[in-house]
Amino acid sequence: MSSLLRGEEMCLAQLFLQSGSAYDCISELGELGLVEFRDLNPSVTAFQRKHVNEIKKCEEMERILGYLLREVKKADISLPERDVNPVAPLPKHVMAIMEQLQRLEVELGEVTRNKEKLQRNLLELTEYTHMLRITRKFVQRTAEREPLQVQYEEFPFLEKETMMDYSSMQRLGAKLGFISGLIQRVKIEAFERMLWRVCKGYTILSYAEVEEYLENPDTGEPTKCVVFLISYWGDQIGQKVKKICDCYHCHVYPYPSSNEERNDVVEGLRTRIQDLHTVLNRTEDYLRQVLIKASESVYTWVIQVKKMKAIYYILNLCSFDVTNKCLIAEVWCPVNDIPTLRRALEEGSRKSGATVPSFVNRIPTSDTPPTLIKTNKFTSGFQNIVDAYGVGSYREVNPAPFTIITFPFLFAVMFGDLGHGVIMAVFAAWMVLCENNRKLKNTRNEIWNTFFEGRYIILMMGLFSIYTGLIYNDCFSKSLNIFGSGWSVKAMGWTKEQWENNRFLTLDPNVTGVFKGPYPLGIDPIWNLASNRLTFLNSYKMKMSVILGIIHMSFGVILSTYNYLHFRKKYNLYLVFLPELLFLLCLFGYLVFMILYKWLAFSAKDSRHAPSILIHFINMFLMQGDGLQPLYPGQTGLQIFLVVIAVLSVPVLLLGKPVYLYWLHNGSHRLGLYRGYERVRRNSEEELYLMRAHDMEEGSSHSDLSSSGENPTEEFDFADELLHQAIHTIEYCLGCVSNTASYLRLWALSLAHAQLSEVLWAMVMRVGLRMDSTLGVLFLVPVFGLFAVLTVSILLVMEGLSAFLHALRLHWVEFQNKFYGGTGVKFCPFAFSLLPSSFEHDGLL
Amino acid sequence: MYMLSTSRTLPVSNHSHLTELMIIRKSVELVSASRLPFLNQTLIMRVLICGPKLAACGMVLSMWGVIMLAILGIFFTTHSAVLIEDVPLTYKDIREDTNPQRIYDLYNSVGYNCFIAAAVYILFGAFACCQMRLNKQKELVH
Repeated sequence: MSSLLRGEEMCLAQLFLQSGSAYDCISELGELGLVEFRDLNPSVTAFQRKHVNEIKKCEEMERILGYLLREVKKADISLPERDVNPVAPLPKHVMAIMEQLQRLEVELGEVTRNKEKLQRNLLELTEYTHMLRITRKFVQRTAEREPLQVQYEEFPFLEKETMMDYSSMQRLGAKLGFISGLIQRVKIEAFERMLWRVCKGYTILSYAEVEEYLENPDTGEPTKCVVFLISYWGDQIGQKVKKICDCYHCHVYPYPSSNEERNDVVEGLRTRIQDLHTVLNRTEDYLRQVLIKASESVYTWVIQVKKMKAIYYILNLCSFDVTNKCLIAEVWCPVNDIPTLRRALEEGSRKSGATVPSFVNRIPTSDTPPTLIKTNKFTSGFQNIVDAYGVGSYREVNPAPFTIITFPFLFAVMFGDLGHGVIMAVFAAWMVLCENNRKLKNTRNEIWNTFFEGRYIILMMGLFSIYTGLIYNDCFSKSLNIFGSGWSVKAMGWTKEQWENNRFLTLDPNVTGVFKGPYPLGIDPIWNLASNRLTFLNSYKMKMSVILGIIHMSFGVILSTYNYLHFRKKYNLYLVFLPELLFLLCLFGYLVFMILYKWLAFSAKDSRHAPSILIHFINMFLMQGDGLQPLYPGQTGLQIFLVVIAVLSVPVLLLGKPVYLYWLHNGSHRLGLYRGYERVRRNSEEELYLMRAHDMEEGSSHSDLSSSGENPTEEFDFADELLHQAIHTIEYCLGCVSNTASYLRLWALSLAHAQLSEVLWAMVMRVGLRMDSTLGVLFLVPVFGLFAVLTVSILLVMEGLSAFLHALRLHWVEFQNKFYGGTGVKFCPFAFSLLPSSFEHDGLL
Repeated sequence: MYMLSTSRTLPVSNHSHLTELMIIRKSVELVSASRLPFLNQTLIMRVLICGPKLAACGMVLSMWGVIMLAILGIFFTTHSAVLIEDVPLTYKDIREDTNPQRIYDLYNSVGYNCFIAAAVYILFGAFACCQMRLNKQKELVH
């Protein structure tokens, strides 16, 4: 389990894969998710790599699969809910899948095109029917008008639209032509105006709207259309009219010349429309069947194509060896997993039936490996919040195992309410119990996913909040009297006049019988009724925050010793850790001591003479304070001693390490000799590395010089080191003061939470409870509903997020800057389960 | 719809509403024998008011309401001092007599109010539970 504290030990390994079994071996490795591949061809572009054609084939298959998935989704067919995990298909099976996909694509394309054509036909026929029906009304109108025209033949038309009347046109022998069709309603006015401007009275336009909505074939939206009938004289006018109709995208249909012809056409259209409806229904059924059949296997194909593409990407990262028969891959692998890696390669070779097995060979390297920390479902949440700040450097101490306890605790100190903690814990427990429910796991909602990933964190936060709620004795802003209060009001012996005349009365613990002893667990419930409750709680919470802060920071400083010991930099222990710890403890540790001493040494009897710690602390620095009464005998002497030690530790911290390193590099010459001697004797770098590794295992003191890299004669830059150490010293010393003050946010947020809770109760719940009438009962029901909604939204969500954020900041900044580097690279293994799918991203799966 | 189609295919005599009634009754029997879940479904559609999420929220709220109001009611009936500001006391109740009986009575009345509200929330919870079950049935059918 040292993995969680420090991270796994990693090594660089070379895989020698036979070309025949390379695909299967990488498929096995992808299923296991053990190793991270390194790119051995970094200078080669994507198009020059070896397996470019296979990747293109995969992308073609993905395109077809995307089309299929979109069609399936459009037809509202649900995909099967099985948890399938097919292995990557062998190259020889790929052709079969490709053929099936292409066949499906062609079939679907054909059927869809046919369907569209049929629908377009149907639309045309429907429009024709409408046109015939509506123009019949025009004709009936004009037929009624004809006898009138005949009567007034001698007199010219009163209508100004025609310049020549009907009879004179007939005498001229001009032919009367008709154009009829449909046009969209939005265009009809422009159409009419254009006709009038161009043809100037040689045309008559009549139009009427179609009652029902017709589907626009281009956009698929229902639009309103208008049936028009243009009667014109003359061929040239006719051509102009036809051009205008084309311009406005009208659908023109032939106009029947007589009523019998019209009736025949209408009958024929009706039968044709019925036939088309039947054919369309059959086509849609067939399309749906094809899609259902495709949807059964499309999910499997998606996963198979994804795995295949991933394997080819990895094969592109490998390089060929000199004999060109063997693929070489370089991987980062945890040292403990090398036997598993070997077994996976054997399995892959066996599956592909190769005679020569593939094998793995560990190689030495001076690159820093990526950091791998193995987590389970409980620790992964906490590791994620640590990694969000920075992934730990290789083999550095990981703050995550400590964060499992300190983070929920600091959150709970700021949240501290029993009732809210219970609700939070119940919510988290529900998520934990239902964590195997597929619907909860696979939702797309980002916010829900964030909460679900952190369900164990929320559970711990809730449980710790229940504890701090008991300590603060705060449950929905009311205190619980479990053990019986330690204060007695009766013992004060107030008279009736005192009761009636005074607004505020003070319980004096010095009077016998008033204070019977401290409450066993937490704050006494009587404080909930006291008017000076906040004064008391503020003092308590501020001191508590400072104490918790100093403990947390000291713990961080102590953790840095783990790093110094592991990386064999023992001088850091004496030159960095010790001054830091002394500085922190001599000043702020002493403050904690004074707080605790004052709590223990002073009681209610001498509370009037209890000294102010702040004044004593300030006087400690100013070396004054003769006029003040000491807290304990020998205080001045001790304080001077502590201040001197703290002040002396600053130059040690500033100059110790650079000076020591300078002396180490330039003072003794024997190390240079050692290096050169060994170089002459053993020429191979590998042996030198192995010797170095051997030295490290033996704990030799020369090994700490190997950190300077391959060049042993590298100059030690004193100025650089001094500057770095100066920055660190200033940051640390000033940071001690500011970080201690920063921990006061523990007090501030818990005060805010308590006050919000109280205000919510007073303004919402109390109104419902104080209702005295008979309706007051029913009023309480919606009041409680409002109280619940506001509690969840303001106190749980808003305050919870706020406390979460502040606790996180305290960890990231105040705790981790005492020891954490966080400059590592995360280990990303090649695993099929971790690969993203573009279809999921589009919401198709 | 099914009922209408059967009545169209059967011969309908011009007179006698009795024959029509007989036909309608026969078709109703046919319907009830073979299409029972269909009728039930229409019943579900009419009674179902909330979606699944609203019903779940209602259940959570009513569970919380029942528990919290019941506990509050218990605390009021045991005359807990912490809740004194939530009781509708007047100056007269405090100053009238040294016997705190009036105050205790007020406490009790508020406590009973809380119990009644808790009972209303039980009903609300039952309703929400019913809606959730209907939603699950509807999901199974589809």
